[in-house]
Amino acid sequence: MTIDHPLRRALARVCSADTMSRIVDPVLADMRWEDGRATLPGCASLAAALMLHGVISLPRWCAAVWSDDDHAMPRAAGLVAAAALVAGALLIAPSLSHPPYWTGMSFVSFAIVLAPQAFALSLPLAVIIAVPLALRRLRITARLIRRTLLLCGLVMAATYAVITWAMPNANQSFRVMVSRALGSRVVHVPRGVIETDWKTLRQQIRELRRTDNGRRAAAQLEYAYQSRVAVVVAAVPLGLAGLAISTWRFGRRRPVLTGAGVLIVYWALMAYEERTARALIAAGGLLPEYLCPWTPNAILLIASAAAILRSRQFLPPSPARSSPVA
Amino acid sequence: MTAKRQAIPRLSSKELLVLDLLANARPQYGLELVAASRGRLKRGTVYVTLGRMEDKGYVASRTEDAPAGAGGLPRRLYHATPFGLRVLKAWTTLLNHLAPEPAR
Repeated sequence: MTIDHPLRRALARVCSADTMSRIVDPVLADMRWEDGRATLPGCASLAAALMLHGVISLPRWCAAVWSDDDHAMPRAAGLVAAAALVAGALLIAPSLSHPPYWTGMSFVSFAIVLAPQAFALSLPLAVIIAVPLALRRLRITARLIRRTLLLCGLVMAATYAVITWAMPNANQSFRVMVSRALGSRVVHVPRGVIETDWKTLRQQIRELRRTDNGRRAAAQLEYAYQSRVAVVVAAVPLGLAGLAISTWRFGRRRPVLTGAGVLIVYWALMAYEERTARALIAAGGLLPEYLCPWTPNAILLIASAAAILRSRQFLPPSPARSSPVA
Repeated sequence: MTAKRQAIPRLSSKELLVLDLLANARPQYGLELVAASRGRLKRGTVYVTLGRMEDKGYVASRTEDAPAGAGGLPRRLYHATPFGLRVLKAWTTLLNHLAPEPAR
């Protein structure tokens, strides 16, 4: 176990110098002393030590995240929330300007049943506006990249919660209300694709694939399923795109404009992939249609990562080369 | 206005054990402490405990002198500080006073 051991090098990239000198290096030195190599019990004790250290350091870490980089992270989180609210309001505004009064629904209940679907889209999209706006005056460091990705993870979790619990039920409520207002005598309004939960959708796809005539319907449902997952994950490539914008001179000067520009490109890619998927489903089996919803995310992810790597702003002095003695 | 009271140094059972092991011995490595504790200290937690104790000023550490030409990571040696020993003495006295007396 030397200073250049791959395990130590990997941990040096994510752990602070203090954690390296107090936890990682002593445990690795013990491993060297005992067995001369990384053993399973040694790695298990290192993992346990790091987990315990992480839990104990959590309050201090939260305080550091709050105050570091001129409050960049709380500012980014606040801007994500604000941008999601504004974008969500903009998405439901056209429907709210002409609410179907014939349904008997009030303005407020109409807004409530529409809001989850709007937020499922506006939450990930807000990241591309909020991140460059929050980081425009900062030099992009490895720490900022890690914390921004963590924020994207939180946005992903929020989007997943909205799509899983709020959106299907809100949409179904809307369908039931409209059905009743139209005087329909149908007691049970069947759920559509958007109103169906993940598990039932997966089950429907499996059942349709077993039948001879259901393959095309299964492909359509699979596409809908993958599109939903791609929307949940979209916060990560959009967050990376936000970081990439923050490394450009023009992006720093006009963060909202650049973010909106990237968003338009992303939207165009989504429209193109939707058209391609429809053609693929119609042609039947040329290419797997479920890859289509991932294309915009993949393109944005690769382009953003390349832009960040190219800028080299974030490169720290190699921690693996630093002395193990703090 | 009352004067702000100075916080009394606290000692958890693990910290007490570590200080007890270090009090009358030469500087020791984490694994030596684990072995000496006879299972009361765990490999996965000993360095976290030692790190916290170092923050509190109860122990101090230094890395071992690596032999010339050795490329391996040096181990860390821990010893009790005079402050840590004073805290240990105070806590031991307190615990002895608070221990229930055997019924006569």
